[in-house]
Amino acid sequence: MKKEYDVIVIGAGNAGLVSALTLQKQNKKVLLLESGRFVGGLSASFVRGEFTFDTNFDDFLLYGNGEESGIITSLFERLAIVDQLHPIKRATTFKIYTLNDKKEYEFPFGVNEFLAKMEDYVAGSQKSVKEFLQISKEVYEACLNIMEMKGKMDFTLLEEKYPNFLEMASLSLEEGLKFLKIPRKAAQLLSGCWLLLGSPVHKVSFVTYAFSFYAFLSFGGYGLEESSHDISLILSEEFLKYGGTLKCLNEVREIMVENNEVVGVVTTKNERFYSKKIVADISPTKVYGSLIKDNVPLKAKTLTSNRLLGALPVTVFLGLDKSLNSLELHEGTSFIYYTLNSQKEYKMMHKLSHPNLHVWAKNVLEDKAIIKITGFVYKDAFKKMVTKENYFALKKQLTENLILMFEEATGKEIKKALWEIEAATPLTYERYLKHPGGTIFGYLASGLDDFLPRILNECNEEYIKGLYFTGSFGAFLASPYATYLNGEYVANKLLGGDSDAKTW
Amino acid sequence: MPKLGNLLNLRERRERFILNGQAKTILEEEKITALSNIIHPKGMRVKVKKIVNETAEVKSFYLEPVNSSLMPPFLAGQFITLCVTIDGRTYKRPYSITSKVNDLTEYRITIKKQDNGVVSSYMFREVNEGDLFNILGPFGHFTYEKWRDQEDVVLIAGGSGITPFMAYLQDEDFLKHIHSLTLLVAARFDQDIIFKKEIDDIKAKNSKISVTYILSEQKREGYEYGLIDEEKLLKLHLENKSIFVSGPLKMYFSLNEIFKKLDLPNRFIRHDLYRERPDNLGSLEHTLTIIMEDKVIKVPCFENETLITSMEKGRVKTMVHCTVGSCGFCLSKLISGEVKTEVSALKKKDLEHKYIHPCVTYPLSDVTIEIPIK
Repeated sequence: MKKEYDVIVIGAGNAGLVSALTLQKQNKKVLLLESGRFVGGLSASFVRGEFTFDTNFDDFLLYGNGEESGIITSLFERLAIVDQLHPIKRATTFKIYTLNDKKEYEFPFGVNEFLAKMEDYVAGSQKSVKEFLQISKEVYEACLNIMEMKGKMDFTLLEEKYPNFLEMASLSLEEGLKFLKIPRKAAQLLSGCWLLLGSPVHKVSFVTYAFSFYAFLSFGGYGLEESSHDISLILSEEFLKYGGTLKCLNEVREIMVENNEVVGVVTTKNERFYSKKIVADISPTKVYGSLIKDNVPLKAKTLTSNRLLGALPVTVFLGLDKSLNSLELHEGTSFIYYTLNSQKEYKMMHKLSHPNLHVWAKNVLEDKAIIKITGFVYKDAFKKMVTKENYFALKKQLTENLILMFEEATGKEIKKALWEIEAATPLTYERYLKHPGGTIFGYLASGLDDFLPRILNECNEEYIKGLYFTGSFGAFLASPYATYLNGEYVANKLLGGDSDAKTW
Repeated sequence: MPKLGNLLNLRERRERFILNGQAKTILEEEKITALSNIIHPKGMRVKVKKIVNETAEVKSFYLEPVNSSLMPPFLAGQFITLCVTIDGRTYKRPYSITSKVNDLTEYRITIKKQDNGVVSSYMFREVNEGDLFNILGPFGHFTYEKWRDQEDVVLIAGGSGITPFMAYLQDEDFLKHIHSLTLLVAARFDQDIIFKKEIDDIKAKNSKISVTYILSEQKREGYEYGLIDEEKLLKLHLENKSIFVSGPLKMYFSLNEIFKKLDLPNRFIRHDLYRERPDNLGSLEHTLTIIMEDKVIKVPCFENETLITSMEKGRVKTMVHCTVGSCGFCLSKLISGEVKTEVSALKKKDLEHKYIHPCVTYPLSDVTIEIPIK
């Protein structure tokens, strides 16, 4: 019997799960194939002693502050899972440390609060920073609007409602901040969250940064009690409840294509499943590099072979037997840079010995805490250094470096409270979360491969009929909230409006 | 409109790049993938190179790779899962690696013969040099971490619990790093002590190491007598030392009581994975139904056997690795039935959604579970 489905979703990461659930709820017959034992993709979690560590960067789900819905809240409302979620205020501020001049900057969440604090740090910056934040708000709204256009760009609407957004659309962050005549120091601090996107000021577009930064500033103090792994579980349960078919430990080894149109997949167990529509929550590099056997369209090859991978992580997960307060450590997000010059740091980060850090800290279990320190490097930095002989030693050395940098920045010794420690290198991420090269950012958000060019061209880049991409390698870039949204966006694009949906 | 032009221009430039750009080979980060297959292999074939009798009830098996030159690197304290097929039934058992971390030409694992132990009896009676096995791993985090652990280290081994420590004792980097190492080896009789000569040789060469042997059922010169009690532990001055415990569950419990009394911080005390069958289990027979994608298999199960044991006996392929509810490889969904499940590395949400680790779960009624299969 031929196993036929309306849609096959490859990969049960969060985007794949949202796609599958959205489609299944529209009465499509969906098959969700996952190569791992379990759903969630990058949203995995693991237990060490008393602590549960999350591999995802779920610290800034931007869930909203109870009065105002965050960027992701309405999606979870549409998926009807909000009853199972519990918003929680995690932090009131975020911090930026610079090691070279031993400075630290602490900013409150909330647009007005941030603005006031910036004026404290850089006198006279208020006017231009205010303008930046106003434009960022417009960019944020414009981007949300674009995300809701289901692949059909309404340029007239964009022109009418978002002139400032259009004005800034083709600028890099660096160019945008110059254009707005923001004082240098203020510009450096404003772009101080660049590591969240893994792309420095001269690479990342103004639009991408402004969108993310505005969302972060508005909702960043709030998250959920549930980890992103918990959310993956909830999504998969819902998918099953609506009658979807989920097969874990089913790795796709081939996407079958006939006459430039997908017809189905073959798994490593040599099972064949048929569908004219495939949503790939895996990297295009893998799809075009090995899953499609012959006749990869030239344009797909040109595009894919020229894309750069995003920053590579080395993470150390720490479980502490004291609360953050008693250690006088900051709860929430911090960035630890050598300098505020991200262009320079980006260059230096092509060396393994010069990572820049993203830190996430939260109190758990009444009087304990988790600190997750991730150092990012670029391109071949890890690959060049690692061998099978030196792997464990290198891992130890990298871990040590991260902790030392953290202690240097904060001036606090964490060893005296350390209960559990675990580390992950790009190799760990590659092996257990199956991200090519171990990146967690998908492709580097940069120039012609940033959010706008990706989404503007998405319709033209369906090189094989019926094949859609989602997830961290997709048009919405890699961030926990964007990947959920991207899952829904692709599902909606497939559904193509309710009337069309009935025809297949 | 010039402004909209910004947007259209982006689109056109990307389009033009894709049209005129150079199509290169799509690179899939093969080095990282190849390396991760070496460091964290998904399983490998090994040959029994040598078998050595350690005591009357303990044998060491030296395993060498069949298809590659070296075994994967491991950390002192880690284990492998040995897959043993007996009468068409595959059993998986974790064994600590007892050899040197920097000699990867072979692993040594050391197995004690258990009463009624299907696998250990088989390993003792049937296995010869040259036999082939599949192994999984190395896994485990019963390891010394420089950043976390103290430089004064106490290792407490009960019976065959000495096995993970044998790798510690031969780990040169570890020995170089620490300030002092105190090893307590507890056994019933002197002839039960595994690796005595090896341990004494290592100790003789390293002044950082001190060793005490304790016999619970025999008085003999050069050995202490009795159980590991408060008095013996007080002599070790445990404050500000990292304590690693490996041995039977009863020993964990009694030691934990003493540690609590001495007010030692939990973060200085680490236990190797170890599980024993809980007391007060029934013995009734039930039916275990296993759903594996489109297949449904039914096997008998018993209240005093884990679901994994019933699956192994029923010739059902299992994903189990650690057998003690820690690694998560056997994670399954409980569809129906009552079970008794031990504390394991399940997350809160897993429990809410009725996920279980069958390796530490006992049936209390007919049970249906769903498992993914490879």
